[in-house]
Amino acid sequence: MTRYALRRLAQSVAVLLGVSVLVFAIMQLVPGDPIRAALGQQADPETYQALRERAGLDDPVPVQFVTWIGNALTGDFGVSFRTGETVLSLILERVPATLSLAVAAIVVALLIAIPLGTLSALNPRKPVDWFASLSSQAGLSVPDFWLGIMLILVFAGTLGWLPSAGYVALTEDPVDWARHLILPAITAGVSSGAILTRFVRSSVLESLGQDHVRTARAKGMRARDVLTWHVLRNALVPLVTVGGVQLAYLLSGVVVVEYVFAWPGLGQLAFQAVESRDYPVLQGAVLLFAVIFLLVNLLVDLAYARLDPRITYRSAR
Amino acid sequence: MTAPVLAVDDLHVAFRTRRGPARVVNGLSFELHPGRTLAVVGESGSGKSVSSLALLGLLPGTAQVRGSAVFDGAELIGRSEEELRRVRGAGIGMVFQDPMTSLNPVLTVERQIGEALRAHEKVSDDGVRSRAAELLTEVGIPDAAARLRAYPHQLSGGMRQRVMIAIALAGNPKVLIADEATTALDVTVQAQILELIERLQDEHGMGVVWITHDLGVVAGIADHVVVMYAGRCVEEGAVDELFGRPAHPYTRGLLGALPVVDDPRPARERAELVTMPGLPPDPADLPPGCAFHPRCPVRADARCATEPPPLAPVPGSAAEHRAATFYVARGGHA
Amino acid sequence: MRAGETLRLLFRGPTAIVAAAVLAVLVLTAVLGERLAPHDATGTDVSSRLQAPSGDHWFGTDELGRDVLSRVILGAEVSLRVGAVAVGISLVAGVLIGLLAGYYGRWVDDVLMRLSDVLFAFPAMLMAIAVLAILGPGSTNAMIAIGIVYTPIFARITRASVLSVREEVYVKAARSAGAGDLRIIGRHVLPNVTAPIIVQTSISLAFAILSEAALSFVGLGTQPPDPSWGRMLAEGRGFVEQAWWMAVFPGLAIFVTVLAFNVLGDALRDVLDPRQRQAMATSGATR
Repeated sequence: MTRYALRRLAQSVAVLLGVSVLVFAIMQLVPGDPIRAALGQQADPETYQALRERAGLDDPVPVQFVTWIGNALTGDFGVSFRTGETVLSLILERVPATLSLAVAAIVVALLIAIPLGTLSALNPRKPVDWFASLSSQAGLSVPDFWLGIMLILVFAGTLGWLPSAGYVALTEDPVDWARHLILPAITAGVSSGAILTRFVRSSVLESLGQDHVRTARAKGMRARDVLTWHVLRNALVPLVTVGGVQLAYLLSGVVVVEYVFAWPGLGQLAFQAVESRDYPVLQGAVLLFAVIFLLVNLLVDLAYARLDPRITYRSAR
Repeated sequence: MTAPVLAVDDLHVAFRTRRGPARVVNGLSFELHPGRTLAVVGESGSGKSVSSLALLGLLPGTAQVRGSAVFDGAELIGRSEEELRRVRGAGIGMVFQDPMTSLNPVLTVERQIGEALRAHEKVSDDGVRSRAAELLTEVGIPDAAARLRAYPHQLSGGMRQRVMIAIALAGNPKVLIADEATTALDVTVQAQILELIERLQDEHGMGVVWITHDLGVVAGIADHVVVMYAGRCVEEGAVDELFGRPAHPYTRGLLGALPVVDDPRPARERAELVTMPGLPPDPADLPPGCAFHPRCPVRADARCATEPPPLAPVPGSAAEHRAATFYVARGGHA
Repeated sequence: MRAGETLRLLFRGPTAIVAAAVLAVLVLTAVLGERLAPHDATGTDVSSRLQAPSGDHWFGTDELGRDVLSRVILGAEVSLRVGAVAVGISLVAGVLIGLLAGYYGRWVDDVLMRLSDVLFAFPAMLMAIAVLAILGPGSTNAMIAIGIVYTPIFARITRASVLSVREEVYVKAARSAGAGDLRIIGRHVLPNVTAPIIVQTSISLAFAILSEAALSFVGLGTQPPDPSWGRMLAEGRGFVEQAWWMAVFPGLAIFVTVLAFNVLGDALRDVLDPRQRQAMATSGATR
């Protein structure tokens, strides 16, 4: 177990090094002078010079890289070309909004996937199963930004039940926070819900066929108890890990949804950085997303090897 | 003679498949008396396990069951799920082949025995714990209190099968069906389990149905034997009768392939010796006539390929010794 | 499996037939383009702006008086072209990388697969945005960006298939008979990796079209005045309360197209590569 963990950790560090090379390369690959591109031609020469020095662009590239990565390790991702604020503070400011949205979206996804996937597995090749498979195809195919607009059209526009955009901090007003969260969370959660529905279906189907389920029935247990304690419980253990991977996707996958709902999260920060050519901010955001992604995948792999007693159990057979 | 506790009559089971119905059990009949042991013997795919699952309504929805099975005076076939549920565990207990997969890997032993107790009566948590510990002690597991907290993968194979037996006993059943209950175990453990079930049978007065492909197991414990082939009983009789004067060519084939009784190898390896040339027929495409005739070394009668032989008394044997073969009807032993 | 047999199995159920028919109509629409459009898709007419769907304008008109139906028809060409070219890029690059990694193994494999791990560590959409931040917005650059994003998937699938056939007897036999690497790859390895690749191509087309629409929606993909579905949605978004049709129809077009590719991909997988089904469903790697 520890050997596996160490090997997996080493792998992640290696990938992270590669990731940071690519992220660093963003600034190098921009055609021309990135600061000139960001500030425009009429920039104040002093500001220009200060930013150039701060970004270390006059050093040879390898020196720049080492400096950049050294700084990044201490949490210093440079300063915004636009506002002069540190990239780290800009990012930290946005974390709560993105985190709220991703977590709410995964909740929506699970609320869709668990009932639909279970019903469909319990009624294979029946209308429910057919409906579930069709909705999961549809959920995977619907453009999230379009779904968002349609939800706004109906629930914010026509019905006027919910706000069409914007974000309220949880600490400020929990009710309003929730009201603003509903539409974006549904929009972002649908595709994960579609993926998880398929997973739950196959997992429950597999679980239904297990010998121990037959044992439970042979004991004389009620069908509902067998379903809860022997089918669903066993089928949903792996959902923890697959759900974790989906959460990682959501943390970074909500960029367009944030754009639609004017949600002040990390995705929106990344967009603004692209539009205003604020490369250090873009670098910081991209790096952070990649790190989150790697970290969640690492944790999921480790959890999978540890939490599920059936891993060792199965391999022993 | 006492009334049978379980009487199966003309049981048929078919599964819907894409290639048409797969007829897995085709008119099986037997009787089990209290305190007695009935062995149902056959190769895998002969329909022996399916029959037992059919009695309790444990087959998937694609199965169609016809016929009659009277347990303790009441018909089982066609009864509602709730009525069958009351019989499962409390009337008829089951022990399955592989204790590794037949126990839920993520629940504790206590929980899994407790479920069997709670399925049929209201029991307090303390009641469950003490009763579960008693059951474990009864099936010969030492240090029961500690074992209750264990998960199946922390136990040895024999120990797991003892837990399975404890679960089957929890409802205090009148009939215990042991479906290949010793097949997955080592020989020494196998002997212990056989001994345990015999002891429990005496103490509880249960009727036991042993489903197995291992004639070695049957010889030691059964009173009466039913030999199955392609979902049908091809020969039945008292154990001495059947072993001493086998009438059906299939039974003879099985016995001819029977290894030395003291064979020290595990059951799985010995089982391979029990096979004979050819394969059992495809239940979705049963041959006309006697289902065994394509593999039969005798095939002495013209009707073998056209007409299924009826189960008839074997001439010169006790009345309950019957075989389904034209060969015997013409009266002769090799 | 013979092609005829594959097709027969594929079109056994109604869903695959419907999906294929929808795609056929789409391709036809893309090819005919302006000849099919009832109005000039780029001609503005302020006097007939923001008109609701009617007999003359089935899908209504936009804020500049352009016919939405005509623009949706022209958008088909943009979507399919960008999607096809992008997937073409990933397909060629990914298969090449996968073949090299799988066939030569050792350090080639290590280097290429670690590289694909690195690419995989970036969420797809963010990666595309970052690439476009460097290359600048535009539909050509969007093709390249999407192409890069989906290359690692093709590389991994190809590599896995190559690894599974590399040790097969017939490949070893060919090698010991003195067949060259290229010949072995072309004759023995490639035919065995086609099934999963065909499946992945269909599914990647779905996601590439979705990505193009998303990038155009946020202003990084196809630029005005070209009628891209994502672009139209972005314009319609501002008028969603006055003119719902501006946002509804282009979105429906994207949805139906992507759904058709996904359904076809799923049907293909059932026929060609049933084992992969579970793996794909759980990894979510296609996003």
